[in-house]
Amino acid sequence: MLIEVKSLYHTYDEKMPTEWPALTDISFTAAGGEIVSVVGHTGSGKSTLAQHLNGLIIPQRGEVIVDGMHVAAKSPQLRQIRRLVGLVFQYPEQQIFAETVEEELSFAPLNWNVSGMELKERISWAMELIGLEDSLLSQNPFELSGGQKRRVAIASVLAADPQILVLDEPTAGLDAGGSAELVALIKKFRRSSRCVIHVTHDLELALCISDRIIVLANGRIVSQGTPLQIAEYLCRNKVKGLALPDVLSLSFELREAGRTAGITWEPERLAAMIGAPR
Amino acid sequence: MAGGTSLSLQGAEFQYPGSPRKVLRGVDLEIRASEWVAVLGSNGSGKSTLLKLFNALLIPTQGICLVDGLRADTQDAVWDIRSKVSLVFQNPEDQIVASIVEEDTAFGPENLGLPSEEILRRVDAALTITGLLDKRKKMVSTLSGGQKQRLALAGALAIEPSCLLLDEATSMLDPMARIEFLDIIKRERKAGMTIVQVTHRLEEITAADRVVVLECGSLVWQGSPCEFFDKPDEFFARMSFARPPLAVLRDLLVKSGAVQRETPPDIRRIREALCL
Repeated sequence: MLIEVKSLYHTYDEKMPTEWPALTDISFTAAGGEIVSVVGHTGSGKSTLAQHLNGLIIPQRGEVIVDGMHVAAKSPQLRQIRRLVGLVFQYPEQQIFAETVEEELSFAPLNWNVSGMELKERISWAMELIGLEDSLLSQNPFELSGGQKRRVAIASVLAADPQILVLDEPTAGLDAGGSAELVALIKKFRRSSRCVIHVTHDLELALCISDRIIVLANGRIVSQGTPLQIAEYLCRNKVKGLALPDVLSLSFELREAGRTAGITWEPERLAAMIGAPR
Repeated sequence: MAGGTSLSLQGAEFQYPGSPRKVLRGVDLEIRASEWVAVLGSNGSGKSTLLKLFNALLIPTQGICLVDGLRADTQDAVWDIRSKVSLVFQNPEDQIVASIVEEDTAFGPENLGLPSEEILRRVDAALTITGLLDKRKKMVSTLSGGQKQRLALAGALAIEPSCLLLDEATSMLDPMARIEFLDIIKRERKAGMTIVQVTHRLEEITAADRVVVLECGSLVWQGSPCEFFDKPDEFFARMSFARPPLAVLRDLLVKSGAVQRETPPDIRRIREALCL
C-alpha cells in the first residue's frame, strides 16, 4: 500500500481578497509499515495536507494517489480511497454521537455494508488495538474520561479497517498515560504493514516514533528525511515555529564544542555521551 | 489591570447532575493575588472543573468558592467575577463566537458595555499581544488550530482580567508559538495578573510559583516546581505524569556527578552547569 503526493497545491479563497496559499508544490510518498510524521508551525498547512489524503479536500493542482487510485472529484474510486485511508481529526472525540461505544464503532463498517460476524470481529480488533476493554462496548461514550473518549473515536476509524491511518495531532490534550497508549497504538498499527501518517507540532514525539519526517513551513516542504537527518537539519537551520527540543539543543552544542561525538534527542543517550567524552 | 485576584476554595465539591461520581471532593485551595499556580492531574482528575468554579461557570455542589472575597454562588457576584476572571479553554472552538477575528475579540468588551473607542483599543491591544493584528479582518474559519488558540487568548485578554485561567491552552500550539504564548503569560503575570494553568506539559510549569496535583477530584499534593520534580518515580507513574526529557537528563547528570543536585531542570541552568 502506497500513498503518493505529487506537486500538490491548495489555495484557500482562490481569486478573493483573502486568497491564501496553504500548500505549495508538496511531493512525498509513504509506504506500508512506515510511520511518517508531518511537522510544522501552526498554519503551515499540515491539516490541509491531511485532509487531502482521504479526499476530504480534492487537489486543485497536483496529484494524490492512494494504492494507484487518484483522488479526484467525481472519481468512482473516491469511496474506495476513503475506505483505505482513515482520517482522525484534531479532537476526534467531538465527533462522537452514538449512545453506546458499540454503536459508535459500528457506524463506519455498517456504511461499508459490513455486518454480522465480520462486524463483530472488526469491532473487537479495533478495541484490542486501541487498548479498550470489551466491557466498555455497552457504555455511553459521553460518560468516559477524556482519554477513553479519544480512543473510542480513533477505534471508530480503525473499525473501518483502513490501510493508511492519518492522525492529526492525536496526543493533544492527553495526559502522559494516554499519550503513551496512543504511541503504542501507532506502533502496533504500523507492525501490521499498514502506514501511519502522523501530523503534529510535537517535534520531540516525531523524532522518537517516526521512520521519516516531513517538515512543512508556510505550506512548503523545507526538509524530509530520517529523524537523524531532520535533527541535523533543524540544528543548522531555523524553521518557522519549530524550536529545537531542549535535549537535542544541548546535544548539538556539546558536539559543536567537541565534547561528544554525535547528536541525539534522547536524554539517556546524551547522558551516556557526556559520561564518555570523545 | 490593577493587581491580581485572589481565589479560594473551601471544602469545594462538584458533581455533575445525573452523575453518580463526585468530580471534585473536599478541595481546599488558597491562591494569592498575582500568584501563578499550575494544576496537574491525569485526564478525568477534575482539573477543568476546578477552573470552571473560579469564574462561576460552575457552582460548587458543596463548599465555597471565593473570588476576591466574592462568593461565586451569589448571583449578584457573577458579573464582577467574570469581569475579573477570564478562561481560555483547551479547544478554542468552544469559545470562538464570531466569524471575523476582530469581531470575536470584541465580543467580551462589547458585553461589558464599553464605549466603542475603548473596545477598539482593547481589541488592538489583545490582537497585538497575541500576534494576530495582521489577521484582524480574516474569517476565523481560515485560521489554523494554533491561530484559533491565540484568538481565544486574545478574546480573554480583551476583557482585561486580573486573573487568567488556562485550560490546556497551549495544546494546539507549535513549539515556538507555545514559547511565545507562555512569554505573554509571563508578562501578564509580571504585571500582576493571577494565573491558574492546567497543563499536561510538565516543562511548562517551571515558571509557576506553585504546583497543585489533583487525583480523582482530590487535592493530593502541592509544592514548588523544584519539589515536584524531586518526587519519586512511583508518584509520577501513579499520576500518569511523564518527566520531561530535560528533567530525565538532569537526573541522570546528577547521578553521574556532571551537574549538582541543586541544578533545576532548566536548560539555561544545565547549560551553565555543563560550562556551555
